[in-house]
Amino acid sequence: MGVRLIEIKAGILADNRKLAEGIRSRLKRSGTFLLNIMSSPGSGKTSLILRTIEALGSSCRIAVIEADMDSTVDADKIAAAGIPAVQLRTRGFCHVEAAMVEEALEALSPGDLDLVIIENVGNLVCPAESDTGAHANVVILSVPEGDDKPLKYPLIFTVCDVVVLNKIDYLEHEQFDTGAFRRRIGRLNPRASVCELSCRSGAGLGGWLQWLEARLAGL
Amino acid sequence: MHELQVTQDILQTVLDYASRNDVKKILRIRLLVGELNDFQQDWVQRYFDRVSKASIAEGAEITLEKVPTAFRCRDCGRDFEVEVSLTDRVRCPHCGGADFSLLRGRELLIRDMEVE
Repeated sequence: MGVRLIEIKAGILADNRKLAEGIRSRLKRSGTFLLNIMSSPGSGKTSLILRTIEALGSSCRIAVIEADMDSTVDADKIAAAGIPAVQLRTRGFCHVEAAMVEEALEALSPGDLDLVIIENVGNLVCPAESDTGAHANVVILSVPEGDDKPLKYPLIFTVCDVVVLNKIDYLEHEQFDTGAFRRRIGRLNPRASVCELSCRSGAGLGGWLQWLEARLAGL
Repeated sequence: MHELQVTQDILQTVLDYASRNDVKKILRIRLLVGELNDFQQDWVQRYFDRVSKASIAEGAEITLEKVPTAFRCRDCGRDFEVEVSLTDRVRCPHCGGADFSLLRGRELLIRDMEVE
């Protein structure tokens, strides 16, 4: 038999997408909003989650899925804030996948929750490629990382609904061009909102909470 | 890019298709990859060589077809391609609009394979 060509046209990692779609629709039916937070290590994922819990924790039932290569330090911080937290140790996995979320959700009772937050692995590359089943994706960039990141890691800025610019209290020490940063996001993803804030000082948190509450109401 | 995981997924899929199509040997696999994916052909080939050992896909050549990033303008409805890494500000070349949706550039697909 000679050489033949077989058409495949199959998506790579398509199983993950199917699983993610299932999670998304199931949680929507139970009225639970799933939020996926992505950023480099140290940009402020845990800080933003803690600030969000502080502001919404009394009116909204929240749980957190923590993903780290190893250790439980982040989950411990969340649990100390009185919020259920599940730690996923990804053991070398560079990102969270839908199957991991499914597993974590089994440990929580999503039916009794309004908001489940995924703290993804600190990484601007791989998390962008894996649908977690979230209803909205957040990318945090902190001022010291520089305004050129949307140029270097474009994919992650195309899959997010909101970009949080954290550590704006560093703006006076850094050559960070906020206008250029917003333009760079806008050219990839014109519908993404941008919230400038500082988790440390609390400045600008109102804009973030407003965005989140609008999305929660719109589920 | 987690090339190893992607490579394992590719192997799984091509072996699946091979078993349903009475294939003796897989010679070449063509991928369609959006330009926004930072996907390195050398590494995929290296990983593939490793994971496909002793299978009918051993020795298959992986080729990669890049899909340029394209947007659809929400103002005039027309499509346009842009080389994202070279542009600081994207505007619709047809109407100058600045509101658009991403049309292509995130693909990660196995297009086809040559077999015998």
